[in-house]
Amino acid sequence: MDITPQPYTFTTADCQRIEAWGYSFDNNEDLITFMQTGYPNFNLAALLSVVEELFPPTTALTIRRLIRFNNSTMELLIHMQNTFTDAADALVFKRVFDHTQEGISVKHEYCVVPTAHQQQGLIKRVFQESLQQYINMGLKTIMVHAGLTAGGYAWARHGFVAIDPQEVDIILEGARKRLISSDFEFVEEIYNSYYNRNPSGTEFPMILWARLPFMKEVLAGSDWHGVVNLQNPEQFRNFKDYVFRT
Amino acid sequence: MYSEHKYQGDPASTAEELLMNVSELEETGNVVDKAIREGYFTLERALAAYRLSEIEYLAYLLLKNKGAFSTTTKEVQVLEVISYLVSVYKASSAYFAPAGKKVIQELASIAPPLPDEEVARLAHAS
Repeated sequence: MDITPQPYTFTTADCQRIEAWGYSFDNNEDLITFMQTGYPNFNLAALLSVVEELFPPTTALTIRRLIRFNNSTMELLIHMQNTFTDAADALVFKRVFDHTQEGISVKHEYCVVPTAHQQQGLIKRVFQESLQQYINMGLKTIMVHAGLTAGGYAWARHGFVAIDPQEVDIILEGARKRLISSDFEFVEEIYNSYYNRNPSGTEFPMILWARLPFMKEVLAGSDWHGVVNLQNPEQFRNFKDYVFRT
Repeated sequence: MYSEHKYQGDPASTAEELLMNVSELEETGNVVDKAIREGYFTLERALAAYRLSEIEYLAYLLLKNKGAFSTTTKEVQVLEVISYLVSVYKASSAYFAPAGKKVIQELASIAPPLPDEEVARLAHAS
């Protein structure tokens, strides 16, 4: 499936829709200016309409909503969360957009639905709309901290590349301690091949480790920061293909 | 609730939901292709590393290319399938018995094997 950028202008009507869902923010006029200048073509209301259609019915708990933006740093925070005390009941959607030297980035801080509603396609719909909006605004990178509740293994399977060589070194050492030497050879061969070609590389292909069957346990307990560069054709295609797979 | 905190990250359950309907064979085959294409492993070594048999990789290649195959004649399909077959088995055929080696040689004379990188590239391009 192809995703084509769709132009959009954020308006007063969008502010009203977002407020009607219960999001609080400081000043309508400021948000309109902020969105039009900082995140042109980002149809925030379209993204939130999917979130608001799918997520609230999964919880009986109170939901709190916030949009915060900073005109000087250009950071934009979107946060909705229920008042869970048990992690199995957690409903959270939290994204932080930012402008870096390379372009617009988003931190996927936390997105989860209550356990009873997982694996039902809700997350997929939200990611599909998210990706459409990322393409609209020309977003460069999606950032994830892979490590929370075994995300170290799961996000590696998606093709997120590891940006910090020190974190990769720690995982390598963990593998050295846990694996038999004939298995570890493959792990080290990938590591050496990448860093010999890219001595200060910030795009280590974790996916090559993740699909080694003996690396699942090692990566499940790992902690690393990863990105998908949407302007890298291969990384974009891999991520998009999985997100839109039905 | 809204105070700054250590940057977390979407949990594994979220990543796994996005992988729904992606088969093990497709995931592993894609990685084998990437490892070959980018020069990390030869085909033979990639199959060993990712614990994928020749027959599984062949099945993956055929499924991955079914769209491209469907636009060709059945005659061309047969030749391309033989070419894939010979490409996938060319390394392990060194250990075949003489009769098996002869089969591979005969097939290779009909449809020569492709370089490893080309097999991986074709699968990725389809």
